[in-house]
Amino acid sequence: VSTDKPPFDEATSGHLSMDEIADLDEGLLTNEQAEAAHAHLADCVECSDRVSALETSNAALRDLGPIAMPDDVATRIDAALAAEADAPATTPDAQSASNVTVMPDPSAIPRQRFRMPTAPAAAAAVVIVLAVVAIIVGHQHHHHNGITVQEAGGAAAQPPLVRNPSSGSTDVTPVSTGRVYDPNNLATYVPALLTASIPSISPSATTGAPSNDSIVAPGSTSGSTTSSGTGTQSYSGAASGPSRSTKKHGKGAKSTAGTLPTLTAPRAAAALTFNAAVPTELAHLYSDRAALLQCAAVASDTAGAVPLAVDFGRWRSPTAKPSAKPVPAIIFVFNSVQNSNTVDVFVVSASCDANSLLEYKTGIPK
Amino acid sequence: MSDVPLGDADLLSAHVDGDPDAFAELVRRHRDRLWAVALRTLGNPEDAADALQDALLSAYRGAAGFRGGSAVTTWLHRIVVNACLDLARRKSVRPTQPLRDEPSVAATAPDAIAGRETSLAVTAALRTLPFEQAAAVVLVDVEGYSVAEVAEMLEVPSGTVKSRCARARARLAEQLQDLDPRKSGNAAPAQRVQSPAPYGEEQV
Repeated sequence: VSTDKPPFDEATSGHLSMDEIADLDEGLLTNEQAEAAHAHLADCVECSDRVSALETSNAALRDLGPIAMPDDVATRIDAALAAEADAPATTPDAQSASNVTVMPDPSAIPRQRFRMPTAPAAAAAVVIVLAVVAIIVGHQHHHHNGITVQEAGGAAAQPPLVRNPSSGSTDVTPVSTGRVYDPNNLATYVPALLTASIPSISPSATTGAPSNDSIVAPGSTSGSTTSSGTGTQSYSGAASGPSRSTKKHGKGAKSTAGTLPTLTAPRAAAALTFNAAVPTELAHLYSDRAALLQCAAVASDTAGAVPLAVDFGRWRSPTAKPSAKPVPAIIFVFNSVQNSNTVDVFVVSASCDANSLLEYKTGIPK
Repeated sequence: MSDVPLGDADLLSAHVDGDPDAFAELVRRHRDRLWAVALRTLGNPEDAADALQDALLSAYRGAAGFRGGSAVTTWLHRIVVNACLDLARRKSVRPTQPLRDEPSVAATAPDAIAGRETSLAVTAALRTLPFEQAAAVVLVDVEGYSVAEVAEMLEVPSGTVKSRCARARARLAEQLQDLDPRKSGNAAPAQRVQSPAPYGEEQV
C-alpha cells in the first residue's frame, strides 16, 4: 500500500464508507489505516452508526438458521443417484467390451431441464454405434501419449500441479466432437474428453485413422461419402457432412447426453465421436498445430501452456437468444493450477484473440 | 456395514470400491448444508435443486478423483459451489426475481425488521450480491466454515475470501440500514452483477 494513498475515504467524503468499515472489521486495513479509522470513529457519530449497522447486519447473517432440504428435492436427488447406481459399473478401459453401455430405463430418470427428452430407441442405436467407434479407435490408445490421463482408481501418475506443461506433453491432439457446449454442461462433458481414448485423427496423422474416416477438410463434402465402417455408417454419415450434417450431429450429441444421464465420464466417452466435421471458421486452427497451441496460450494467458485436451465444438451463449445458432468454439482443457484433481476450461471463439474468450470455468472435477 | 459409523472419507472410498449405498449415505449426511448453500447463493429453490442434483451426480462420478488432500465436505462444497456458479452465470442476464412467498427487500415493511423478518430481509439481500460474494459470505458467516476452508472450496486465496466477505457484509449492511425507518433514503437493491472478468481475480 502506497503511503500517499489516503488511509480511507475521509480525505474525500470526510467519513468512512461502509466498505472501509467492513474492511476494518475484517482486518484488511493496514495498521496505519486502521489507526486513522479508529481515531475518526472516536469522534464521528455518523460513522459509529455505520459500525453499529454493520454489526447488526453481521449478527443477522450469523443468525440465519439451518435449512432442511425439502422432501421433494431429497426424493428427486435420491432418485437421480439411484438411477446412476443402477447403471452397470464400468472401467474406463476403452478397449474393454464393457464400453457398450446398457441403456437405463429412461422412465426411471427424473426429468431435468438440462436433459433433452428423445426417442429412447434412436438414442440406443446411437450409443451402440458409437460404442463400436470407441472400441475401434481404442486400439490407438497407446499410440497417444499424454492425453488420456486418468485410469480407474487414480492409478495413473498424478499430473503436475502447474498449468505448463500441464499435459506432460509438448503437443496435444485436438478432437472434434461437434458438441454444443454451454455453461451448464461443461462440467458434464469435459471429463469425457480426458478419459476417452482419443484417436490420432489430427490432420498430420490421418494415415492411421479408422476406416470410417470422416475428417472433413473445410468446405469439402467428401466426408459424407467416405463412410464405410461397419455399423458406423448411420452416424458417421450424419456427422461428416459440412453444414447440414454438423447441425444434425450437434443435435445427436446433445440428445445422447440428454437421454443417458447415467453415463459416467468413461461411458460418456463411448458415446462420442472425435472426428465430427470441424466448423469452417475453426478449420485453420484445426489444421495448424502451432496456431492452435498459440491460441491455447492466449486463451489461458499462459505462455507455452499445452492443454490436456482440445475439442472443436460449438458454444451456446447463455446471453444469446434461444433461437440463435451456437457459435463455433474451441474447448481447451488444462489442469487446474492449484488442484490436480480438477481442470480449468477455456472456451474460445474462432478469432482466438484476447477478446474471444467465451467462457472460463475452473475446478471441474476430472 | 459395521455398527461403527464410517467417516466421510471411508464412505467415499466404499463408494469408489463399489458399495452401492455409500454415496447415498454420504449425501444424506450433508444434504441439508449443501442445500442451504445452494439455496442461499442462488436464491431460488428450482435453481438450487438443479444445481445440487448436477453437483451430486458429478461428485458421484468423480469420486475416484478425490485425493484426500482436503475434507470430503470441502470437496463436496467445492463441487456444489461450482455448479451453482454455473447456473448463476447462465441466469445472470435475467433480472433477479423475488423468492416465492417471501417479500423482497424493498417490499419488507420497514417497521418489521425483527426476528423472522430480519432473516427474510437478509436472505433477500443476499440475492442482490454477485455470486462470488454471496458464496463467500454464506459459507463463512452463515455456515460457519473457516476462511481457510472456504478458500479451498472456492479455490481462491484466503485474502480473496476475506475481501469478498467484507464487500458482501458492507452491501448487506447498507441494504438493511436502508430499511431502518430511522434512516432516510430507501435505495432499491442493486441487481446481481455479472461475474468478474475471468482472467483477473482480485488478490489481497
